[in-house]
Amino acid sequence: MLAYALLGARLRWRLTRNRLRKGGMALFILGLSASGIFGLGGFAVLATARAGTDIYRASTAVLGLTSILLGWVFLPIVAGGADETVDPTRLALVPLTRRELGAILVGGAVSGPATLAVLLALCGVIVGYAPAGIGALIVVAIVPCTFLLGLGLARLVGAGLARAQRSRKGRDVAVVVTTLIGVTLWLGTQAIGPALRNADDRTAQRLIDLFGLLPTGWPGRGLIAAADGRLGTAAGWLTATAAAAAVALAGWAAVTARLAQGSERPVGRATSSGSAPLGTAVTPQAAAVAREVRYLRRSPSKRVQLLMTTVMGVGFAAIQVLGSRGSQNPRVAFLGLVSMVMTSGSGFNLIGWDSASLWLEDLSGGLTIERIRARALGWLPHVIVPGLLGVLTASALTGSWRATPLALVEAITIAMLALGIGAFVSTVVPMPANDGDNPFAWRSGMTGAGCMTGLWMIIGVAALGVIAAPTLVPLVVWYDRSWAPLISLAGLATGAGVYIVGTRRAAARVATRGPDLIAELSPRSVV
Amino acid sequence: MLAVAAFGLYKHFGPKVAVAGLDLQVPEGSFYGMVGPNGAGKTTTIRMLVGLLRPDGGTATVAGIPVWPETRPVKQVIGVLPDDLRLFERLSGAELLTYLGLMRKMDRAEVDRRRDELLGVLGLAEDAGVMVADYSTGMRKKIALAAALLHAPRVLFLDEPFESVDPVSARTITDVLTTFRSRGGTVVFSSHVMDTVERLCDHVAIVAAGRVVAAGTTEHVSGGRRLEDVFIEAVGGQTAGSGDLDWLR
Repeated sequence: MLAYALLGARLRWRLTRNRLRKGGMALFILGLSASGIFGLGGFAVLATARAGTDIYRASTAVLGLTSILLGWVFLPIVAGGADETVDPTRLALVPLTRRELGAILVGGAVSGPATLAVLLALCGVIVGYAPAGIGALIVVAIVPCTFLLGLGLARLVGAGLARAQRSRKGRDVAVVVTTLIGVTLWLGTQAIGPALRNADDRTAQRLIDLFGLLPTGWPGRGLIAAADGRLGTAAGWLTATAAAAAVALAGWAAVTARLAQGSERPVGRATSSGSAPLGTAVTPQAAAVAREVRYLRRSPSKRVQLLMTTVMGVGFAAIQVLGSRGSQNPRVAFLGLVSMVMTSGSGFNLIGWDSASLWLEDLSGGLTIERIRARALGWLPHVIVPGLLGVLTASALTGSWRATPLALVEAITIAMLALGIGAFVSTVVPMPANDGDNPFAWRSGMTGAGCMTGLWMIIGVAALGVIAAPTLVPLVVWYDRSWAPLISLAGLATGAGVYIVGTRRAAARVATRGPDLIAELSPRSVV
Repeated sequence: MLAVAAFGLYKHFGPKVAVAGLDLQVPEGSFYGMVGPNGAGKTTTIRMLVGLLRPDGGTATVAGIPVWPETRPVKQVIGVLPDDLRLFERLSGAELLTYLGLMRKMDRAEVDRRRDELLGVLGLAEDAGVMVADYSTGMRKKIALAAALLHAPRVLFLDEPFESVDPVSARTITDVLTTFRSRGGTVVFSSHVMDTVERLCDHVAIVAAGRVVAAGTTEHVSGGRRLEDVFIEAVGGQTAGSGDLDWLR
């Protein structure tokens, strides 16, 4: 089995190396560095837990390990970076037993930089929790069990999703359910920090008890017991963790074996009557918008993003409002706009979407301003819905609605700014976006391409903040003055101006670059 | 009058030279086949001729219009059916054609008329409302052909139009292409299938290592022999001897 595991590891690194030969080494190193920082940071936090109070050590063990494991499972999914380096379906014709296939996949899975970073972080518990004597052995044993538990859960969920992708209904259900679970868990982890900072020991203990019920909390409970010298209890949690890991790995193996058997295509059915395709559109502008509306409805990736940006944005805003200790100040309505910090980047990769079909667009007129604007508008719901809901949520939580209308108008302003800036940024660092049937797969993972887009997104959001500040700040300060609506109107005018100029500049930048964009974004997709 | 004229087309990808100074003259109204082994440069040549891939050297005109540097004029008079069919997967077949027609600034009523006619002729009328993502390979080829024909181009470029297509769909595609040509259109297509080329094309070019090694009327190039034999001879192909692979049962 070890030979097969090594084969899986070698296969993974060979595939990665071959992909890097086409470029992206610098960005890969950036990603590698980020993994290293995460691994070392996690190690440091867990290793220094010994110096903290009892409640700190307990919360670091249970909540810290839970965060790591749930992050391992869900973050790659919601971030579109589920690793498919070693795809089981490609091994379908090789006569492997289930165990051999499992060994290859485990070998490939555990040898990734992010996975190794998790292992490094987990090793911190040996320094932070191991007591003298036999208890140390239990703590050491908890590390690989926890690691395998995370691996098994992450792969089980990933493989289960891949399996669900094979029917349209399964795909849709998987998309919605997984996104909601992932985002809810993420919001939970965001809420834990402030809650712990503000909470007394009793509340913290309640959280620890609650999360300790999950299998991901069991290794943490084992660590606490071992550190306290309750070796029997520690051994019990160790056994429970090992059993959970075994179940997860076995589940992964079973789903993977099914994945490797055939790949039935979903049965096609009519999505429209065909009597009036694209409705009543008669102009290029209307046709472009009509297409975006249909993609918004039919593209799993776009649906996932809309759901994610809305839940994450509004949830984030709600956390900020609650963290402000329930102020009754009407200005808190503007705090709802923080949801847009997380969502305003949605329209920053307009050209990367559908890049495989770029040749068709190029042949039929190119990326004209109509298409750029239609693409930008296609992302409007992703940008504006969280803002509007964030403001309404903030107002509802405070019970004060005096500043709400102005905050809502400001959300529209920020949305227009985001789309205008985003259109321009889209032409600077376009990146092929995953818009396949499986919105959880991202085959350009590990190339680091996302890092560069992410950096530009930060620059774009910063620019947005600078442009929005001259109207937003006075509004927050003087929202109750009679002339405040005039500032709102000025903001709207600024937003509209940035949208018009941004999309125009974007169209001008790509007007003659069709073949270059095709070469960059979909080199193998044409003729 | 030449429908397509290329001189000294050159393209390299890193150290690999894909097209090495290729010359091509396609007479107007002809059914022109480009044949060549895998990696000969056929696809790259077509990509450069239709303005989707920037050549490193050489010149090309289609219907008398220079392809480069300004590619937009030539794209108004050509239709393209690629080998790798990446379409707008989440539009239905009917929506795809409508979208492309409107993008080409065609009148909506005319788009509707041509769309319905094309869908009917290509046997896709019943599946007009099905998403392209759910189409079979043959259906994808046919909807892509419809997209290429919708604006009534003067020159049609097709890359492996019959690959992975069942005989019924192949016959439909052939009929449509024959009709297109009978109305004065020019068809340029690449293929590995010599029989198809021999049957359909009045002109042929054999491409190897990024160059045209033989070109002319099909009769002239084949010289009374089977085109496949001429092709293998021209590209320096070899056959497995009886002593090879003797471990095969």
